[in-house]
Amino acid sequence: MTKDRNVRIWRFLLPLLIVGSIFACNEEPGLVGESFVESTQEFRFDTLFIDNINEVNYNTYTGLLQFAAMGSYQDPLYGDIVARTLIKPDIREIPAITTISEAALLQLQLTFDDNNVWGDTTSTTEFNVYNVSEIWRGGALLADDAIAYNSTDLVATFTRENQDTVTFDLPAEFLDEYRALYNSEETLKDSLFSFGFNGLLIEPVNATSKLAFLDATNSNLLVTNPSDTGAVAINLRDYGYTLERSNDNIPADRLLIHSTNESMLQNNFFSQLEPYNSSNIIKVELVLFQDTTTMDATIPFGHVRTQPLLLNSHQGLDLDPNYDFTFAISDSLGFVDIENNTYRFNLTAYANRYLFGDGNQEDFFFSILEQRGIISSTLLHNANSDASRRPIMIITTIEL
Amino acid sequence: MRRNTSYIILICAIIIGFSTDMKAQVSQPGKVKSGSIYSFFASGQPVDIGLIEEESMGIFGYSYKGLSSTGFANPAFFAQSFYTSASFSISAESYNAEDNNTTSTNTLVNPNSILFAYPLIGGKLGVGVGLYPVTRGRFRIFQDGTVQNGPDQVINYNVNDQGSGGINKFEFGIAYRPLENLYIGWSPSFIFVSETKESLFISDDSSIGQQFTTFRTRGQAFGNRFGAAYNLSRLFREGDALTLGATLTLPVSISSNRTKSFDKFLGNGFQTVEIGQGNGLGDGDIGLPLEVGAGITYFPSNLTNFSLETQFQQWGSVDYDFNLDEENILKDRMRIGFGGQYHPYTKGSSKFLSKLKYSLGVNYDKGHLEFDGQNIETLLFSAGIGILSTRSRSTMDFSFHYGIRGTRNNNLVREEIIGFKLSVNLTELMFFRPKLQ
Repeated sequence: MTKDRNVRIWRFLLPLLIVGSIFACNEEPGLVGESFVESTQEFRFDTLFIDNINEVNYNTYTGLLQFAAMGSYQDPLYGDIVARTLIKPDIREIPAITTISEAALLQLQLTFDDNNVWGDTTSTTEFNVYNVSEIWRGGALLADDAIAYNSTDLVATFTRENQDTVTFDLPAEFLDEYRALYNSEETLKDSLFSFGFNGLLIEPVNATSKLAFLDATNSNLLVTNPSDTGAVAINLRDYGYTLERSNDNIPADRLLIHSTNESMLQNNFFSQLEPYNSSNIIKVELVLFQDTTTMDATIPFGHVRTQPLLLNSHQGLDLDPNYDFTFAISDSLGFVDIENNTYRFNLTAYANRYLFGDGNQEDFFFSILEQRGIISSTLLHNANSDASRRPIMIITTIEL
Repeated sequence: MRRNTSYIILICAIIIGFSTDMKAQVSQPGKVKSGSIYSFFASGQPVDIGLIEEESMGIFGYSYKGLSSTGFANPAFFAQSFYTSASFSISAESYNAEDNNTTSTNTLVNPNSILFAYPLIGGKLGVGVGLYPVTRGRFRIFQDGTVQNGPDQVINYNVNDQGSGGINKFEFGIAYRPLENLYIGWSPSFIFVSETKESLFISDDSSIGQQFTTFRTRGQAFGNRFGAAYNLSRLFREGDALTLGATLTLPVSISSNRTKSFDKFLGNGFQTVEIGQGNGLGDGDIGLPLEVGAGITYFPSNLTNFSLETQFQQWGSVDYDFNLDEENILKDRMRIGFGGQYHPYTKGSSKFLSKLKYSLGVNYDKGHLEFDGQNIETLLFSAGIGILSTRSRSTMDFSFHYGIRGTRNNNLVREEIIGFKLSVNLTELMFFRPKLQ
């Protein structure tokens, strides 16, 4: 009886012991076999020359940005640049001043950005201020607009060295025009502002050697009534700038991008992705090389240029390309690599979308990302440059 | 009877519990259990289809029919059966691998086979159905790497490759005894490939991040196996017996298709991209080799038996279209196994240890892989015990095996294999009454 019980116990326990020992197995996977087992996947880098980048010309919106260019500069590389600044002080009544007296003093206080200057930072520049003779609106102002003004109708002049703020008086004629608008009881003062007040234009006198940037948000019209103890500041409500450029000297085998989009780049690289339609693309990077040699060699000693730090990419053309190129920020930004003087765009998502998604293969447009109104330019190598500096696309895949 | 049934149900529950656990492991990347590193290549490591009882003798089952269950190694044995039988087996193996640089331990727990045999005319005509793996690829491999992308860009990465699945057979068998002592069998089968390789790639370049790629291979074909067995008795003495067995498995080319898939950002969120063409993808053939097996089993008495068996597989001639490098390392495989069994229960002793059956064997495998002239050989020692039911012919078999595979020469890997196998063989119980007592 006892023996039978022992047999039953053993018969029951033995399989459980064995099953238990199976459970007890450990797992410590390591790198064994790394030297002879080829991984399922491996890195592959392909570098393709991109030889179909073209320059295209568009425009940019220049009104109501943070800064408005002012001045002129004869750049040996990028040409003669003339920037005219347009301003309109607000005419809406503010609590600090309900009416402007006919004996009031009007002054324009202009504040400049001290971080960005193009040209000779130490030079003195002289400007004339004119009445604008046509209706304009900052929100619709484009860089190449030619806003009419009467060059014989000089309102004021001023000079600037390198101080942050310049203040100068405005004449009685402007006071009369402005106080009539400001003091008006019209209910539709916005219409008066838009259609009855054209504002002022500031133009460099002759050829100056500096392009400065007006900080419009910190510039004001100062009104001092005789009864007041101090000046009251009225904001600029509308402002912007227009730009003229001529006589540039761009080498034939280079690509040019201006922040004002007079020159930007267009490219379609999708046909070069066809061989990768079965690949696991993990990175597609477009690399553009700056021609720093030419840029450095063409700037006079002591002069400076504003440098674009970011390039922007856009796929396809929208209804208003100029607006898109000015204000839309792409998923892919070209960050400057200062050490290697390159701009690198990560276009992986676009490549995968083309190969595996909806097949979108619209052209790419590359511009300088500049939404503040600062003017800058960059010179890039093109497909005819030395092989080490040509535009390239680096395609990284994990291959079987 | 009732207690016996409860006992078997308990063991089955444990086994099913294992199976559930394994499913969960497979579905979670990074948690899959892994086996031999050599199962990385082609369709994986070939798997034996013999019963646990036969494997514990180091043989393949060509000349030995299990005492209670009928195995699939030689389809001729279906005609020898008098009892309906069903068999299910699982295995657990630990692989302690080492190369010239490091070591690792991998553990693999797997269901092996489900076999069912039914005698239409006891001892004369029988059929069987089985589902079992032919090859199995269960591996997990870690690799570190560094690549230079430009003069100043160094990318450090690591890759975790793991695979599961392989080639499986759903086989039907029929056998007949045309002459006294001669049995012949035929097993047509539906062969299907279900193989998954997953690769997790992690780099320290934030613009690349990590990539998860899945390769899936699917395919199907039909195969045929033939077997014959011949029984002799009273050869050298009264009560002895001899069985000669041989099988022929015809080569098969499995029409397969391999895809890879990965998640990509396609403008409106991440979507899974499946690629069905390209290098190593699309349609291709996966071959299974011609296999010839033969063996002899001698029963000096009903107390002992000894077997000697050999197997030849023509792996060197099979296709593996998805990777020609891996196809080129396949080579013809020769195996030989020898073992014996002791059946003390036939004496009728009431002692527990005398109510078991014992097996012992050794198996040499020249290997089906060759790297730079170096064969991946395996030497396996095995031992097993079988627990017999007191009320039916059902058994539960356990085997333990220990072996060495591979070498550290030529930067290869040497694996120390320690494993257990367990099978539950239900004969008559819960199925049909014996056709012939």
